Amino acid sequence: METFKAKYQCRHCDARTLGRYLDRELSPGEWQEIENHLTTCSHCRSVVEHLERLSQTFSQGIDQGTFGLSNSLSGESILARIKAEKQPFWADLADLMKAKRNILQLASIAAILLATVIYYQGDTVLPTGPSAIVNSVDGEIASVMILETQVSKHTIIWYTES
Amino acid sequence: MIRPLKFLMILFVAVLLFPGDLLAGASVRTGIRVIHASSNAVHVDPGLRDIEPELKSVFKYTSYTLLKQTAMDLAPGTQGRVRLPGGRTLEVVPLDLTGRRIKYRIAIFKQGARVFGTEVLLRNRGSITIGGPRFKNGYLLFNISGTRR
Repeated sequence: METFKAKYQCRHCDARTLGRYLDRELSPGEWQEIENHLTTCSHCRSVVEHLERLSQTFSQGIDQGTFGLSNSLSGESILARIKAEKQPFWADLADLMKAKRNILQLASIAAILLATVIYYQGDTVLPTGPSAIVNSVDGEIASVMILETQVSKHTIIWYTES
Repeated sequence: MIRPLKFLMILFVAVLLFPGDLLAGASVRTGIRVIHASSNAVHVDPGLRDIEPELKSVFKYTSYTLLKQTAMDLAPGTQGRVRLPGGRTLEVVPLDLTGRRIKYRIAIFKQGARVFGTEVLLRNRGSITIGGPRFKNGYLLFNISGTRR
């Protein structure tokens, strides 16, 4: 700008006035006066053209920088993306199953081991029925009682010798 | 290619169908504990902690003392004998191992005479308690356990 000022040699107007002229910030009388001056002053005309090119360059740069951003942040574009990415329920379930695949396999292995243990050691792990089934009792006895505890169904035979 | 889960399912079914009896040996680990129950004191022998709740749920005694503890491996039809206090003898014979229970014949002899006899189907890894003989201001209890080997 300093270089531009140094080169500026017109006595009638300066660069600031020409800028206001371009931005249409002058009164109609002032604007018309500059307009008339530009028809005769080649130097000021070249300054105006320079300022116009500078302004256009800025405008284009700003437009290019915000074009993609404004498109990506618009409400419609966001909704469109959500709709495009939305998938049916079974697809969500399939994704969940894939994600939980390892856990499901581990759970299956644990269930199989547990079932095997119960199958072979079921009497110990999950006792069913009395600990002993008494088929017969005999001998020189006056009386006999067969008991079963409530909690673990432990069988007790109590006899009295005669 | 078989997936891991399918392989496990096949293995599981194979294990279930495999007759487990083939793996079991032809003997029974028979454990015998001789207990003196009385109300002379308040005491439970540490070796009886596993059956203490069962005993206390049925009997009113406050003292349970472990007089003798023994274990023996018995083949079906083989006798196992244990000397008991008061000139008594306990005889146990595992008769049959099929199924999930062990068939036992149990007898108590006093001065050589058979005074008590019973035949029971004992749950594998289970136990039965037999009691009644008087002994030192209390009573004798015999806890008999059996485990297939």
